[in-house]
Amino acid sequence: MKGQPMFQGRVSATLRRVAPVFAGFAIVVAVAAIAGWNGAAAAGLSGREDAASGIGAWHDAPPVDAAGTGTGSRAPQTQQQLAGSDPHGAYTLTTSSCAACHRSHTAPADTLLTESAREGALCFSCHDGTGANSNVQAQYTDVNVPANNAATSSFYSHPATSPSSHISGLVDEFAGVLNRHSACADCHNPHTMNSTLAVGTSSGWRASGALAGSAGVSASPAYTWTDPIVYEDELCYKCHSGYTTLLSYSKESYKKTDKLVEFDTANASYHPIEAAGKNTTSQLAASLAGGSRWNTFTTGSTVRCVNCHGDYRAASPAANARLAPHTSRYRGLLIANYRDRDLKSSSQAYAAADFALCYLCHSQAPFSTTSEDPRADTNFRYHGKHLRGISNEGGGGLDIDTLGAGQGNAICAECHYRTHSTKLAPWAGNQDYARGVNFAPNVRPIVGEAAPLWSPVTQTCTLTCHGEKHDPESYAP
Amino acid sequence: MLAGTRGAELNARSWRRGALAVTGRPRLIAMLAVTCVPAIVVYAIVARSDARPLPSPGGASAAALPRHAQSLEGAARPMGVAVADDGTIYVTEGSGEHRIRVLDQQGQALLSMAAPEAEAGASAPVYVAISPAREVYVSDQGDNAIHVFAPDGAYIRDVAPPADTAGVWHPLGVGFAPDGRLLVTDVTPGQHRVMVFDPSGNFAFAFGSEGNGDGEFSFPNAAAVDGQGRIYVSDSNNGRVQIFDAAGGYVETIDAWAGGKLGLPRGLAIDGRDRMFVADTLSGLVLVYDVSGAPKFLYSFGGGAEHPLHYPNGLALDSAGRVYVTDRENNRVEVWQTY
Repeated sequence: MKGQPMFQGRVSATLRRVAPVFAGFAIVVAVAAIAGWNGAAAAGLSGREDAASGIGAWHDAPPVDAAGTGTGSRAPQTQQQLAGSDPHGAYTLTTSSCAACHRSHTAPADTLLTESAREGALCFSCHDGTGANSNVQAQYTDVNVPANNAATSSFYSHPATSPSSHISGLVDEFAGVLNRHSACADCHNPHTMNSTLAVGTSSGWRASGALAGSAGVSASPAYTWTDPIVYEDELCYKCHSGYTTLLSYSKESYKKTDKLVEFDTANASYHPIEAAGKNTTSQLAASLAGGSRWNTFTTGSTVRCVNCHGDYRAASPAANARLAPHTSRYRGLLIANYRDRDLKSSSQAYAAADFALCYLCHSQAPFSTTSEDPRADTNFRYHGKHLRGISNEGGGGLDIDTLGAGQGNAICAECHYRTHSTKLAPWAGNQDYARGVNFAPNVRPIVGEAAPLWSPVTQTCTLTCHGEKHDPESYAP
Repeated sequence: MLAGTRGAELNARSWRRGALAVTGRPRLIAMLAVTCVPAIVVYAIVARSDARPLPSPGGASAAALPRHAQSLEGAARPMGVAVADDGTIYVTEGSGEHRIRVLDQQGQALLSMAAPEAEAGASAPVYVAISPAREVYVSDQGDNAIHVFAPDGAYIRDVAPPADTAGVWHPLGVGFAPDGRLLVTDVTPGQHRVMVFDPSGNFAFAFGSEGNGDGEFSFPNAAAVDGQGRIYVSDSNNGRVQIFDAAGGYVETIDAWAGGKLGLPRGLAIDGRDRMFVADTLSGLVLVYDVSGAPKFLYSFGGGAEHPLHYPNGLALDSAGRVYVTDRENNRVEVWQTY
């Protein structure tokens, strides 16, 4: 119109004419889309409610094969294309094993995994006995396994089925932080596993194929992230050492100690994880020859963490067997029972079942008698007397962490309190003791002494236990 | 329309201007034609492309998608499911109390069964099948046995393993053929195979061995028989379903669907219209094939937003065309109505 800018007039006029065209086109397209243009199934169906219930899969699906037929049957595959039904390694370039656990474009979880919640649900699709010989899922639904209780420092399982902050087993999620978790991939690398067994060496046991390719923390150099691990203990040190932040407790028997400190081979006494032990006496050799499950260890052997913290279900496993510490009915994820917190009541008789863990490797014979005669299979001739022959001795309570407790037969832990080594014994004066000797908090020092004391040189004890004064008492023959 | 000098200029321009000069009803008709024709052409090209499954040769009704019917709760980590001809539903639990839950069609719990005098924690029922006599057969990998129960839950006996197992076997999949034969998949380490028992319960023959070639198995989880007597085996860890004739002779393999390769095929069943339904645990779907002739993939379901399957495992069909799938990690049995 006159007076208006020419351009504006042209645009508005054109739009008035063209707009209905585009509007009509948009309406038709919209109707077509609603009617199934998005790739839904055969025409003539009212399966709109099904668009959400499965046809969505089409959006996730890769294009059909070149023939475009959409059929499900193909010519029999070659052996190469079907190579291996084991998705855990030895991959060929044409493998389809990756798809067992990963989705390239539609993965709902981290690291392209199909699992959207807990890693374990994916692994248990096979490791529940329906796709693998190892039924790990059954271990996690074992009715005999109590729930973990952090308040009482009572742990019975590595919580692989619990939600966690886990991202990847090859990422250091533990250094210097309190981030305790154990998804399957924190211990197992599913890409590099194999069936080899653990092998004992003079520097410790080399990790089995079940742990091949996993990351851990080394002892030498100490506190160093190690990927992959070489020794089995390096996997354990990742979470059970000062490399990460351990749970802290005030009660001595609840404390979670730094295992890297305890198994240091410079210590005076330790269970031989990283090297053979310091006790090379013939008595210890004879004791080891009488173990109830493993009797071939010698004073020159190393042992595995899982020889004590392993699968309790196996009937008579070899020392190098797959003893995975997934869950246990015994506190501390132990492979056998070990009574270490509750003292015996005054009239309670000795029971071998209380110390089944120790007897796996150490002969029970010295504890089967109250005789005080010297023996060839123990360095302390009063072992039997203390465990069997002092019922009704002392008037204390039953808590091993309470000074003065004790009223009946002794338990191993009263004189061998810290079992891994003596380095972190609760009594500072015991921390360089040999032979695993370190006294529990319930053992009283003699007046004037800072700690209950033992001397292997004079073969004496200087302490008060269960009300009985040893000032000093000698066990020399 | 612009009037005056401006209008005259515009009207004197190209044929498009001339067309736009048309007004009224003819103009409306012309515009509809202009918009609809290209839209129809585009729709016809794209919507009819091969990027869709082919309709079933059985006709439009056979290709109609299943409709989700209901979700049944009450079983912890359900692994296997079976439906009796009276509609009673049997579901095995993979965790919790490890019982066999018995539900009615409304999902109400009727009773539960457990293996007899099993050491606490040892029993682990996996798959379940109903015999023609309505006995309940349950494979138990904790006991390494097939327990047989009466419909009221009373334990009757265990299926005797074939003599060549020396009494030690690892039965996993269980299924009944229409003629009453019992099929059992055995996953004894190194000796994965399928066993066939006659309707009287006597061992008839076994076929297959462990491996990944034709006729070989790696953790076969299910076996079923179609109307022609052919045996279908869910060869789970090999990612395929293998088809055999009634004597156990290898016929062919299904290892893919329109969306790619099979992931972890588990429970499977064939309905009266020659459709095979198989639960693919790792794809989270039920895949359906027409097996009246050479197997043809039809469609999938179970991956949608409303009732997504989270590790489907066991699968069963009833006589009313319903598909039952154990939605393992959702602790449910999902039921779809097929057409």
